[in-house]
This record gives sequence, structure tokens and C-alpha cells, in this order.
Amino acid sequence: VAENLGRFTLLAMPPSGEIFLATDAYGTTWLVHPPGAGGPDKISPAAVEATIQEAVARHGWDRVERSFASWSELDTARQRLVGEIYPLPPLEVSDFDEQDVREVLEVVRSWLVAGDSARGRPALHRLLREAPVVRRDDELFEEVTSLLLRLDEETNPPPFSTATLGNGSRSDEAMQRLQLPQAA
Amino acid sequence: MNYRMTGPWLIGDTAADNSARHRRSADDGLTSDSSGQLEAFRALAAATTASTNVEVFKVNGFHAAGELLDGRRLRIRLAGGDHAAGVAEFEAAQKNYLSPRAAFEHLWAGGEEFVYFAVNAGGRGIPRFGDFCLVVQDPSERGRSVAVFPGDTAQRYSDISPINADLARDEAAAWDDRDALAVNHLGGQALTATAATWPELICSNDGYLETVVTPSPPLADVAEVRLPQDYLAELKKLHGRAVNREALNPTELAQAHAYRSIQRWRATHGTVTVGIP
Repeated sequence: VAENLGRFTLLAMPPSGEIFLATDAYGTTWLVHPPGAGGPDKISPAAVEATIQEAVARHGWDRVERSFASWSELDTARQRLVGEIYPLPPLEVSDFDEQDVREVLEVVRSWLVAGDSARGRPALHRLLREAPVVRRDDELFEEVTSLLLRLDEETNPPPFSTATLGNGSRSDEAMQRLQLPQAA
Repeated sequence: MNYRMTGPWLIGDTAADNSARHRRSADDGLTSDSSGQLEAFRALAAATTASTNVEVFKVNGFHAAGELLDGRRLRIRLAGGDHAAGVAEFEAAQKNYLSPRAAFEHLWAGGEEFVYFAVNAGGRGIPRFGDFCLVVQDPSERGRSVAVFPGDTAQRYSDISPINADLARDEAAAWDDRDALAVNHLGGQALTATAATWPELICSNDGYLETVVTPSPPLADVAEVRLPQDYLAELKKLHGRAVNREALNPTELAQAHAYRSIQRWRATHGTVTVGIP
């Protein structure tokens, strides 16, 4: 199938590259789903070309057929290809609603529980600065700032005290300290 | 019969014209089944939805377009709106599939704009090539034309050239008759299977009832997005990492955007995201 036969061959993938067809060092072809989505699904040798054709023709995948010395090299190439053919901007949070914010808080809490207390600070600062819904909703503001306070308590020393942010009041002083624009 | 001598037909009207025949046949089947199993199977089929399984780039493409695009229009969009380039890319990619797909679509007025769904009895659809299962509760809403067929239309009617136009026309069933179509074509298998496996009988990687819809439904009609439960958890994490300004690789960033897309559908249209164990 591939022009440049090697040990690991990336056969086909959609432009977003989260799922792909590849042949491993033993010559077995797999349909590899993204982490959490199950699989990989083994493709019988007789069905490999038909599977590629189906993926390309019916699902809009691109035929790649490039071989690499290792799985790691294959994966690096897959990422590079996606970056070239399907570039995307960073994610914006300006249109977040309450549920969006709470889902991010849930992720940050999971990092905190796992002992990674410093990790969620950029997300919380972004929510405070860039998500107007946080500044409009006192309860949400309290949740974000309380979590920021918890992260501060877990890190030593905190860059500044957020104690005044944890009591539910949105003082001008606190807003200024975090350089937050006032809610519209 | 050569389809060029008989088509193009209006797909919704054709399906409606077949209604009495499909329903009579299903009623006859139920009459001859004293076990009551077929009646239960028909009830399950009558409560089905329509779904399409897609990859991340399609979720994001649909979001940008505001509707569920057919393959051609998605290609045109990916080609930056260049119609000729998009169609050329679409047709080049089709290869062996182009002829049977085109033959089926040319049977019907507006066939090139058909959007294809599977009849879904509650599962993750046909997740082989796409893990996002987009569910439309009633594809016939808003006056859309819909026909349901007992299998993959590109293969079922085109195994022998020229396309079997008469069979395609005879088998087309209205959305409201999908229960009858299911009984007529899957009833025998349903009687030998357990009720628990009926949803997979109606829709799985191994086979499905295909639903043809035109024009394409807007995002407002996507009632649910079904995902593997663990994948949904991964998407939430990726989304959180993206908000946290962590370095995501391009495939991770694409998935974070897809999750963002379906969250916007939730906020705008009330679309529900469901994790399936």
C-alpha cells in the first residue's frame, strides 16, 4: 500500500487527526480512536485497502501512506500534518456561560485533588479576566475566587493574598489587584 | 431500468406514496406473530431517532456553517469556499464510491444535497469512523423531505449496473413509516434475537436503516450529542487544559474546539451531551 515501506505506516486520517488508520511493526493495521473512545480496532489484511477507501470516500479522510521508524515518529508526523492542514486558533472564553465556567472549575478541582495545586491558576485568571459571565454572576465569582484562594493556600508562598476575594465581596480593591475590568 | 429514463423523483413524495404498502405489509407480519415480539420490535422502531457519526473536523465545520453539511458542501467549505476546487476534491476522493453514490443521488431531485443519517434506537450510532454521534429527533420537521431505506443506499441499489431504480423507489419509506420498514426488513432477525440486541440490529457498524434528508437540518435540530463516556471525560479535560493555556498538540486542540462547539450548541439550542457507558 505505502510507497515508502517502513515499520510503522500512517495510512489515513481526517484533517483533525484524532482518529487514524495505521500499520504497526508486525504488519497489523489498526483503526485507532482517540483516548477514551475505545479501540483500537484491528483491521483484517484483506480489508485494509477497502477500509482506507471507505474512510477517504465516505468520511472525508485524507490518504497519507507515509512510513516511520517508530510509533513515536509516526505520532509526531501525525501532529505536524494536522497542524499544517487544520490549523486552529487558541480557545476563547469570552462567550462562556455559567455551565462552561463550572466545567472548567471541575477540571481545576480535579487537578487540586490530584495534588497539582499550581496548575489551574492560568485558567482561573482567564475566567476572571476574560469571561464576562464570571463578573456578572456573584455566585460564580465567589466560586472562582474561592478556588483561587484554595490554590493559593496550597502553594507556598502565594504571589498575593486572595483572602479578601473569598468572602463573596467583589471589592474594587480586589478587582484592581487582579486587573479585572468592571462588569458591563 | 435506467434511472435517467425515469427520474428524477421527489424523494419525500415517493416515500409517502409507498406508505400504505409498507404499513400493510408490516401489519400482516404482526398478525402472523402470536408471540407479540414483532409488535414490541415495531414499537421500538417507531421511537427511533436519526443520527450521524462524525469526526472532530466535521463537528467544527458544522458549527462554523450552522448546519449539518453534506459531503460536497463540507469539502467546498474546507477548500475555503472555492466551489470548483471543493467539488473536484470531493469527487477525486470518492473513487469507486462516486459512481454508485452519484447513481443513487441522480434518481432524485436535489439528490446531490442529500444528508445521510442512520435510524438510531438509542445507541452510539455507527461509531466506526466518528465518535461524535449527532442525534436529530425528527428529521422530517420543518418540512424537510425524508426517506428511509433498508440499508446503505450507495451499495444496496448499485451492486449491479445500472442502478436498480425500481427497487430504490419501491423501498423508500416515509419517516413515520420507519417502524413498518424495520418490521418488513428486520422482523425475521428480531424474532431470533433478544430484545436487548434490537437497537444494534437497527443500527450498528454491521448494518443500519439509512435515512436520507434534504435540505440539511440546522444545528438547532441536533437534540443530542452522544459520546463514549470516557471520551467525554477526556474532552472535558482537554477543554480545561486549553482554557488553562497549556500546550496542546494539534489533535488535542482540535478536540477541545469540538467540545467547545457542542457546548455552544447546548447554550444556543439546548443540545444535550450524553456520555454512553
